[in-house]
Amino acid sequence: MTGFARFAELCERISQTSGSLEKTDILAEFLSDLEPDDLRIVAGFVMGVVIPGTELGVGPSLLYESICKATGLSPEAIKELLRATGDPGLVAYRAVERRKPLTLAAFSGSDGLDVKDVYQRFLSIAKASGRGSQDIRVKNLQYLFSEASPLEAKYIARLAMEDMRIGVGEGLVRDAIAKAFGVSKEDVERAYNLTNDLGLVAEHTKLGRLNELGISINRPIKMMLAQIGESIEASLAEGATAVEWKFDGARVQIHKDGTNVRIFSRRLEDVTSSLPEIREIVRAHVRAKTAILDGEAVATGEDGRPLPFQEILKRFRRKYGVARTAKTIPLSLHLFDIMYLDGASLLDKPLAERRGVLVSVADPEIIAEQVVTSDVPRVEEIYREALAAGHEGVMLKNPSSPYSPGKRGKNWLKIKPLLESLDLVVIGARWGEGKRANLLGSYRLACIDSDTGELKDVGWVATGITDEMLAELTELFRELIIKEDGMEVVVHPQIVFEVGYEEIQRSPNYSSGYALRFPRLIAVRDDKSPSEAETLERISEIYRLQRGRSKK
Amino acid sequence: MLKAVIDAETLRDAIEAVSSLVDEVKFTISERGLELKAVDPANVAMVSLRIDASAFEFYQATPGEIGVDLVRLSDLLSMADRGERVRLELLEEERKLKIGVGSLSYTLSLIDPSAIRKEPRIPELDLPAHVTIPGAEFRRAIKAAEKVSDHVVLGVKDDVFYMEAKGDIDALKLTMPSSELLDMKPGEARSLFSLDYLSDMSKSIGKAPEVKLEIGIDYPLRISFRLNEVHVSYLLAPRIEQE
Repeated sequence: MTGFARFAELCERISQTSGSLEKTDILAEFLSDLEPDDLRIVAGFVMGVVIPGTELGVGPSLLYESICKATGLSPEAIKELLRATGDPGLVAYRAVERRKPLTLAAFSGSDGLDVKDVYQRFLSIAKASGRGSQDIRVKNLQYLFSEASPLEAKYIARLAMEDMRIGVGEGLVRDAIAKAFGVSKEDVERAYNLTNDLGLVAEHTKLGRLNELGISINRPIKMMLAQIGESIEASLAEGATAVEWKFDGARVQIHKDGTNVRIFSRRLEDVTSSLPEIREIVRAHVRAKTAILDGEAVATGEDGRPLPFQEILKRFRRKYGVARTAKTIPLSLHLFDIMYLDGASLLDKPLAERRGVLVSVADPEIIAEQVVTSDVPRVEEIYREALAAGHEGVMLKNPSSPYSPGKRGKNWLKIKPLLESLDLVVIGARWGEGKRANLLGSYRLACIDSDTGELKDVGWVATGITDEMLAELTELFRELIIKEDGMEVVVHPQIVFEVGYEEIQRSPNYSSGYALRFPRLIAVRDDKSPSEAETLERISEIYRLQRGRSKK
Repeated sequence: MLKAVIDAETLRDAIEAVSSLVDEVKFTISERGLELKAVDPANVAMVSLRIDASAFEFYQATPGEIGVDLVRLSDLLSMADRGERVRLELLEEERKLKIGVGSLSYTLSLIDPSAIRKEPRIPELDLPAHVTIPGAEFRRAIKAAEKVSDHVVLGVKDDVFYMEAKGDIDALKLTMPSSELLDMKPGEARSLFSLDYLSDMSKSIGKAPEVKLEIGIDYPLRISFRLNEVHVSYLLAPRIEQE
């Protein structure tokens, strides 16, 4: 049993330590002592992953309501604390300091919280659904805040927000696991990419069973990602390349286990219930008994052109209370890879061989067309066709490359028109003026520094937003407001915007060191979590690429 | 082992008294009957329930424990008409409870008892005052209090029982001298309680001919009552007024 107080002290110590290496050492030492089941929980908790693969669905307003109920403070007193601290964790800390005993534990005594208690309560919160679920969420959080010490409360609040703010990201936890148990970072990373669950990886590492973790049906693996190719010509320099359209749709990873089909989004969330027709397509057109497939789901309009992918994604975001799309939009599936077939992993097989397997188990109408060529004009022609059909561009893939889960490498390159868009996290907003006075009119955007997990701002977006959208966005963000400061608000980083721009510039005004020129909102990316937003490295990569291109 | 037959209304009332606070419970089965103790997710209220063997038309049991999802059980029981009998049979091997109503028969999957929140610690309380009033009277007072506030004071001063609710605009006061009470132990008592919880409890309390309220000073409230052979007792933590 690991007391939650020990975990809270660990977080406090890590947050007061500046260097990544020192943080890693502290975490590694802590992890090495834990029992396997506690280790599994702590490895996720420390980076704000509470229930792997599941969102808790706790917003700031629910958090503050439960703090009110647990402490007996009025909503006004909580708002006052929020104005003073601007941080949900500190609000919880200060509120619990002033807590009056309000539960039966004050009369019966209490054993205090351990890590498992906290996990169990969050599990009840995540599982709650339907009638009375809000009440269950509030009461479980209320329990935690009524049992917690102020320091414990600080980190319970941050777990509830799934945002620890102690500068620990995936990379640091991976390194700490490696260090704690004397295994290589690469082995830990490999297992993580195959399971998407660092807690599970930590537990297996401790038990000496790291190598037993592999690709497994019904457990999503990280998707292989593409880098931006500089140009078609440069990308073909290495020789023959497999060319596919880059579809304008939603990436899906499909697990077929007999007649049971599960579909995972880019965020590796189970979206099967949102995409029943994709499930039926797979049942009808994939002959494999068990398989893990990679592809793109595309919504097609009456003119045969793809609809903006938000049309599909509206179905994913029931959680924001947006009405479900009533009319059915025809969806088509374009498979381009297979990673697992009938019990065997295909990850290490070259793309050309995987493609052969894919063609042998799936019907041609659901397979994305692929041409292998090194002929620049031929690829340019495919690129123009893809754009003319309303898609994004082309993918250029190395035919001899393995499927590398979680990697954004040179084996997959994407070629898109120069003005590509960025996925950025909204961390703040500003109230409008005049007729937009009650609306949040501009939004502060940030990218991720992947070393520390910190969000670094890159500017504001205020254009590309219709009045109707503005009202919808204001409702969406109102729930997420952490702090109000004059006309500006700080919001809980949860929503990702896809933003178009003319150019990336150097800028001392923002903590990232970069600014976007003429940013405009293209879409709300419900399929992306903040952890998938653009990294600072990528922003600087695009900055460099852009300078290289402008010289030509 | 459990094989029992009980009036549908009796079982429904018993389950409703508990399901207003918790969704999953662990029943202890013995020769005496069925018993449970459970605490609500926030640890603010506790419920103890005992259905005596004599409440059943037929009852045969050996000691054991079962975990039950009350939401599903209530759902099934809602199918039974007033006056109908419910047949219960524990299928131990399959970890299921067979529930028969008329010619219908359901099997309810049981929950692993170890997966249910552990039984609460029961505070040892010495409550200085108590009053007994008709259940319907208490329910009416709670409904009235809800119209003006979120919480209510229950107190005893000398031999008068009172309830007070103060809202931003309106206030409500109910006083009952000992002559209007079914029973009482005079004393000094005054505690504040959340109406959310009292309101959830009062639906069951309203059905009881009499309910005993045990009160202290800033202390939990114990509410005990009987619905035929079903014994229910609630314990509710007080709210402490913030300055």
